[in-house]
Amino acid sequence: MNRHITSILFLLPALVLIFGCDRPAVKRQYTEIFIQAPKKTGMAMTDPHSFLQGMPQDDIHANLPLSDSNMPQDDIHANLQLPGSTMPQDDIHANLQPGSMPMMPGLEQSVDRTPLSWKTPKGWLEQKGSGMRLVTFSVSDKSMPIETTIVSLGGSAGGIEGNIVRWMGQLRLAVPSAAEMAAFIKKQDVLTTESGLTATMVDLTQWQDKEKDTAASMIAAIIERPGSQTFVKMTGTKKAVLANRAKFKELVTSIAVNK
Amino acid sequence: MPSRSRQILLAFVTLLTAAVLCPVNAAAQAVCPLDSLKPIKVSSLEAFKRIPVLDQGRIKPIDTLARNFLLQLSGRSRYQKETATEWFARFLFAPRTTFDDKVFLINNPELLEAINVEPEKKRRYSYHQLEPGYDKILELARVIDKIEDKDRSVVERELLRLFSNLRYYIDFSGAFAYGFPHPDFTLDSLEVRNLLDLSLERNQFSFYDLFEKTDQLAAASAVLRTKEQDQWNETELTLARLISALIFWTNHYANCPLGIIPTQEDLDEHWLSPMDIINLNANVPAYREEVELIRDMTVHYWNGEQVQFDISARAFMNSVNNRLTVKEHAAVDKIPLELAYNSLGLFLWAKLFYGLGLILVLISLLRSSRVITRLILVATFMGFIPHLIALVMRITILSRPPVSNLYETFIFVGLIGVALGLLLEYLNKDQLGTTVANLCGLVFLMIAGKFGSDGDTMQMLVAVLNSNFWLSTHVIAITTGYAGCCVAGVVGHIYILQLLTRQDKSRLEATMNNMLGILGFGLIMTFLGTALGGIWADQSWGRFWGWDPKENGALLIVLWCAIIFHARIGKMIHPLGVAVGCALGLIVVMWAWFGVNLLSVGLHSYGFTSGIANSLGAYVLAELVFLTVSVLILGKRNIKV
Amino acid sequence: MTFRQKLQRNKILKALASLKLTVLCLSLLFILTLWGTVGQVQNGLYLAQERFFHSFFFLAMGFLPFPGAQLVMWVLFVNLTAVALVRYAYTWNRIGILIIHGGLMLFLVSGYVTLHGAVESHLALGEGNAANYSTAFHSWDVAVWKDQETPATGKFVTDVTSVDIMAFKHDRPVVFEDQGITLRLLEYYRNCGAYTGGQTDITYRNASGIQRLEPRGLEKEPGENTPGAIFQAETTTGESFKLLLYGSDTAPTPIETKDGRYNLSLRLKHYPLPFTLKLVDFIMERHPGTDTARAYKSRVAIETNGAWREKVISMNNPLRYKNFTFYQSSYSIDKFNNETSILAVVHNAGQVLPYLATFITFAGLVIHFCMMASRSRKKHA
Repeated sequence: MNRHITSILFLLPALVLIFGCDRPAVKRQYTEIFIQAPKKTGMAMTDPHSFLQGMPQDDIHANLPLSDSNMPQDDIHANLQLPGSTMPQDDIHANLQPGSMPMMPGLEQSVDRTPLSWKTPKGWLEQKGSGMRLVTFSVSDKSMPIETTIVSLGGSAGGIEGNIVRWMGQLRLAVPSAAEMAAFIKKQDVLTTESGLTATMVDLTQWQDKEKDTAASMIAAIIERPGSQTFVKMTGTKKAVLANRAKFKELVTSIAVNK
Repeated sequence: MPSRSRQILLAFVTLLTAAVLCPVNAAAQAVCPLDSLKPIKVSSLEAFKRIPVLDQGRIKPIDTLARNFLLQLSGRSRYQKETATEWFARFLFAPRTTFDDKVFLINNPELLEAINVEPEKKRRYSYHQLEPGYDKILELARVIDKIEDKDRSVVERELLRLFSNLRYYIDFSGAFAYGFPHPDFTLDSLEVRNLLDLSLERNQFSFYDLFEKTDQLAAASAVLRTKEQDQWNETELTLARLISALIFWTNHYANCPLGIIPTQEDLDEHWLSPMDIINLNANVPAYREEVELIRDMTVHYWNGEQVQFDISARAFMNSVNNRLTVKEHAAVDKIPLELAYNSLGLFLWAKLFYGLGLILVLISLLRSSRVITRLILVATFMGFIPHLIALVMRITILSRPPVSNLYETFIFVGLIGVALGLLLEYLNKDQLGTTVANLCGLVFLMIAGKFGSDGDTMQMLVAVLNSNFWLSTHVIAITTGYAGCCVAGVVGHIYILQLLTRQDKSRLEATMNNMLGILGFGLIMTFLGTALGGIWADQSWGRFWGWDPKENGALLIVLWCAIIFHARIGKMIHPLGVAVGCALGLIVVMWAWFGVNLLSVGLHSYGFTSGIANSLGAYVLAELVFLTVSVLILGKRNIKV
Repeated sequence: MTFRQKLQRNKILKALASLKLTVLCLSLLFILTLWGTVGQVQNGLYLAQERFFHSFFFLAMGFLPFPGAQLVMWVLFVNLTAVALVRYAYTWNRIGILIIHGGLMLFLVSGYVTLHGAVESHLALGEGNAANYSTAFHSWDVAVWKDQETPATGKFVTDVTSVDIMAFKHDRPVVFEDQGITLRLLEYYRNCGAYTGGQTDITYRNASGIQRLEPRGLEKEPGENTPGAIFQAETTTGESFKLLLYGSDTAPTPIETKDGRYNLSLRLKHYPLPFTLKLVDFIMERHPGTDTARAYKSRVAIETNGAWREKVISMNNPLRYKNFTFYQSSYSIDKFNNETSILAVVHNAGQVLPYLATFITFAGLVIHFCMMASRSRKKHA
């Protein structure tokens, strides 16, 4: 008898728990806290070259079609032709008629490899250059990203106006009239570097008064040397570029030719 | 005239003659006298093979890279009479001469049909044979890439493998191309050569020759800007052609995966191929030197100049060594060890001796004698020693315990199996142990060989596996458990055979005791490994047990052993039943070990080889047949399971 | 008679302590493990787990009832208890066996505790972001909070009241007293699609403009199931309307009450954490020359009692705080190089039990094995 009662006493609460009566739905109350930090937007910084579309001087390879799907028929045999013929006859070059050489303008200048030295401004991170760049700088403050490069090219590199027009095109700024351009160039600072070279500043933010802080912008400097020019270019959002303008000038004035 | 120019002239004067005589038609792939142009080659590659390269995250000697390369393409570590390194040297210095070498292994006849290639008996094909089908292969590869891995058919996987091997081959083939004279840089015009300060005595130049003259080229081509393109004269057209060829080459041969020249790009070690170094355009004199030294090696190889070749190779290595970081230096210092490991072929010796031991065991069944028993023991040890040494070398070279991919687990389990066998022999001295040892050693090393054909067996690990402590303990414990259960399985088979051949009671009892002891050992280690795996999972992913296939596999072994022990205690099975259980346990172990990989699900999928499924199936079938027949025969004799 | 002898007389206990029962349970577990492993290929890990391992029984081939692993393990636990009560010889030379089985019982206990007590969730934070709650993987609830201004960046503090969607019984009202809203569940689908074109006679209030839910079968991956529910909503202002909430709503649905405007959403459960956790920096290392991740880790800061303290969470180095553990699970990087670290969060009061059980069982195995081995040597020496 006892044994039965004990069993029932065990069983009853179990049954109640399993089948339960109408329990009210449990409400959870809690306080949520979420902190949203500003996100990086604007230029996709992962590909430094994407900023420089349409700047063939900066990248000797920029306009080349990538012949990924073509066999490397270019072993010793495949491109064989009689000495004296002009174009290699394989299909990779088929589009290049002697009359049209789209990469030619890009090759007016060739890379000048005179070693230069400079002082990296505080807060800027120096990275090894690649391709035609001597060096690339970025900043550690990811909320205001900029990229600065130094490239040296031989020859007369198109003249200052040509460069400015090209850069403005990249920033999607309307090309100014000749008078406006002349006035702009006159306004620009001309600095002397510590080693005595002349550097002409090109501050394109001056065309962007009406634009937002997040618009793409650029400040550049052209240093003339006998037989070559050195371009120092800083690109980023307008706000970031303006914030780093002083440091940019520091960098430019510190450039010297390495003996 | 400087001796280097003379050498180049010497080597390529035939090229000049051939070029003039060869018909113009480049579109038709006509037979050209250039096909017969062969390098004289150097006979000794001792200096070459120790050059360090950074490949797949690990610094290794070219010797290892060469072996893995050839193994990956062809499944063999030699090409006809050449060693892998000799073939690889020929491939790098004179790639054209390898275009007819049948090195691409294709097993699947459907694939051959799809790409329109005639089947070969030896199932290996040359680059020239596959070249016409490349476009098709590329197109199919693009399509297949979009399909999810588990939905791909066997042919589709084979095609992707072939495609990646072809790309691998193509990408490496251009590594040293910058140093060969090439028709793209043929300059007959004296005027052009003058403008560019090039040698007036020859007209064949390499990319590198022209690259060194970029300043002169720039100066000379300044005039091109001033005129319209249709007004250029002969010289100017030639200059334009040179420039476009230079651009094309820098683009086309970039991104070559041969990481032979170290740089300090980014923060990690980053080693580039010579062409990528050229593209880097950095002002490091050592880079220029090293690129030239490789070019020199190419020339000497072609001319068969052993001494100069070695000098260039050593100079290259010295230059590289001077620029290494501490970590890189530590890795490079291990190269002689790795070369020794490569050349000793330790596993081959181990397999030979284990095989010899087994043959002796079979002989001893016919005719037992103390001499033969001793010889068997000697053979076992002779196999065990190289096996052990090879494992220790791997640990030293990789600085981690050798149990991170399937290949390594087989080597390790084989070793433990042999060790357990030797222990049994020490305890019982009745040849049971040595039989087991030789069998385990041979079988596991042979299986390991099949898994090793995926290329570099010394791979780097994904982040998950890099957790050293739990990795070492968990995987070692569980592979030791596998070994224990496998040895118990082998002893189980031996017990059944002893029953069938009517051995006496004391012999049977001794075997049974050994079986139970080893099974217990296997159970303990497998349990430990399983539990440690749970701890590892809890530490890494937040849960001790997730019913993941690999976890389940290990649990199956533990359960199986537990079932055998409890059934025996409860008298539900008799000694024969225990032996059958142990024998079936082998199947459970195989399932847990690599059967689950065939399912490719869960966090544990880091190794899978096709073809293993068939072998596993065949083995299971054979085992079941053997067990069923034995049980029936013994049942007739009233021996219960 | 001693108490033990009395127990040994009990027929039921003797039956429960049978070795045959042990072997049966082990064999069933073996079959289930094998079956569950193969079953994962078709149905995915989660469904296989639920079917074979978390259930008491399931229907094989649609009609044959087969015990699930939970039932088998319960029986095994009862079996071990019975054996401990009536069968074991409590002598020193059986000490190994006793310890082993004690450890195994602890394993079973820890399994139960984990199954019913552990809560797994995740926390995905972009660099610089912080949160004091984690998000469930596939548990959904209906959350209500007061509407407030949401600028693009900054600190948001929200008081939330939520009810598990599974707690809503059909047609039973759930009253949110503080907010003045009552919801009565009319329809609920665990997985459904949502469409804007609906029926002409009924209009549902929904922030995304959804007017129709179409139920679908369950996906293999439980995370791929999106639930939807339709309620009859009543507010203190006297409004009564049909409310539709969908798991993938683009925005919460607002309801106006006497108090003001409240937002309602059917969303994955948020579990409060004992602190606010901020992702300070996400660091990734690659193998040189490859794209394979060598290691990645998150530097986080946690705010306790007003002070922030930093800690690095890496692959095998989780952050432990009370019964919470934060693991580095995964990451994502968008094209602007914004890095997001994904942490797995586990709250498990019984976390230490498996470790204890492992130690105990292994010790028992070693002791027993050594004793058996030495006994065997003595016999044959």
